[in-house]
Amino acid sequence: MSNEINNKKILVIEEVEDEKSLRDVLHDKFKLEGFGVLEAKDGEEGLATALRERPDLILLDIVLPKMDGLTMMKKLREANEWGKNVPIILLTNLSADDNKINQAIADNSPAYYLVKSNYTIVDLVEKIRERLSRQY
Amino acid sequence: MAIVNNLTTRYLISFGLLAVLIIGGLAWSEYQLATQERDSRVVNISGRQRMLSQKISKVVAELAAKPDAEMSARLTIELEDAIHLWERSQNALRFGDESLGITEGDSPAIGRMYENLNPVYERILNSGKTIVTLMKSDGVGSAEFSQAASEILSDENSFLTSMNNIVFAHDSEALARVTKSRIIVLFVDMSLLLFMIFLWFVAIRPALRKAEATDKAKTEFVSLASHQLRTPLTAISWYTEMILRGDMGKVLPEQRKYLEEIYGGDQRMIKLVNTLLDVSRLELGTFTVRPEPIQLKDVAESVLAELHPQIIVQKITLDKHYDSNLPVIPADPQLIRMIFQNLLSNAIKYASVNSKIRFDISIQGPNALIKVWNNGAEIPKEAQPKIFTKFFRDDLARQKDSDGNGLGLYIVKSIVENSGGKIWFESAENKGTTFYVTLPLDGMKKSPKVDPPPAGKEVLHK
Repeated sequence: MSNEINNKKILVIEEVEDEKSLRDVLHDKFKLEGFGVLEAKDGEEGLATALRERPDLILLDIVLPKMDGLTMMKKLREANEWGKNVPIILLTNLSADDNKINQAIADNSPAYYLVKSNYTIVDLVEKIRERLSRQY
Repeated sequence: MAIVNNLTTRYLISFGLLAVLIIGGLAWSEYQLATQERDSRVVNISGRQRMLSQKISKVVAELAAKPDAEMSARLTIELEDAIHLWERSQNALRFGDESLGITEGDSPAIGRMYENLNPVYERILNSGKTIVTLMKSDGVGSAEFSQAASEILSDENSFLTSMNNIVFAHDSEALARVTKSRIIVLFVDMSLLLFMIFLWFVAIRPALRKAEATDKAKTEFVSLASHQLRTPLTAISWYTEMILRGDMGKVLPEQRKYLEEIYGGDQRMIKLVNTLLDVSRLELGTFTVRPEPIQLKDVAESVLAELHPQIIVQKITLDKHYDSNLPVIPADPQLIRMIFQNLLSNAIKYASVNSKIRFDISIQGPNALIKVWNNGAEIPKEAQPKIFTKFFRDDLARQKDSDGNGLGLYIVKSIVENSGGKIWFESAENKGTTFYVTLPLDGMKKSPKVDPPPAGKEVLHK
């Protein structure tokens, strides 16, 4: 079963300027863990890449150029059947107190939310594995 | 700030105008009341004039009937007094007299009426005075007396009629004044109303909007700061973590210690940022409460499990007791967790080694009562009133936990009080310290606007 998980593709959508270091370290870690890694640097590119490549899970920041994460999530859900069901983890540093964010999570499941600074990379991988194994 | 000055100026001008309108209104009222006061005095005294003239006639007639000496003397005095008052009053009516409370100020029309009346008045007056003089010098039977008497009697009617006309003229003038006054008052009131509306648009609404905008700006600042601060902190955390785990190659022992220091310092900063953000959110009122049905003791047990290592290290005996009837309460698990974490970790921190801690959750009336006791040193009396304030740390606190930031109890108090509960403590020498928290059993109220994610959907919160 873990082999099948390890063939999974993860799409990481992170803005490049401030978050580049985070994107790089996630890339390295996922590669070590055996995941396939796709990257996008803004909401628009993320949406296009997602629809084209159909990753098994999407890591999505909220603050993105061109199209923010919440909008991208909404559009993805509206796009097609696959788009409606792909799990999305909102990986951000904004606090979870904004009603808009909570509403978006509630409306666009399966969607999750975590504050980057409160998780170790190991925990993050753990959550991802857990979510991916649920597809079975 | 330009906009503030602008608002202040607007307020000053607006309230200045308002003051002018109000003072103007008051002044006008005062003027009106004074006028009406005069009018009523005039009517009074005019009435009295008519009565006095009739009295004069009557007395003269009685005198003409030649009564005895005593009667005559009395009547003479009566006549003299009546004439005296009559003269004074008529002058007052025409020319004003402060002592009678009548000011000058008849209309020209009325002035003319007085002028026309004057000859009749003068005749009656002079005849009356003549009679008084004659009576005093005992000249009743003289021809002068008879002449004067018949003058008075024949002029009396004329005086009465003219005086009546004057009074009615006064009356209708007074009525006209009142009508005019009504119109002016109506105008002033409408102006005031319009002015209030104007005030709303020009001063009050902009101020409200500005306050809202400021609030919004503050919230956005907190959001931005959290994002900006946390990103580099996360980078340090994850990169260091990767190295420490050996993902980037072997780590030399000497390097390990340094890396762990970096990691530890970074974790402390992350914690501080989280706390600061909590405090900001509390102050801005944007703390979202998402109640779920929770069992307090489950949360407590989970927190105790987390604190277990410290309990072991300090060789503390934990004496805990949960009421078996504790119901499930709607509460935000994160916020409840923060309460327990703070109170219990404090109790452990400040307990002496090898000592005891008591932890109790019971039911007291409509509330759940949480008690945490340790036998640590008494909280100094000077420190006690400040314990729930922001950033307060006394010397002992600094000694026991150099990392702490003095915000814990402040946050806990805010959470407890926002939930409708109370928090207080008792601390005495040799008796240890007990913290008490009550929470209503009917739970926390949900923050408005957003429902919690429906059951089955996860929200990954730490």
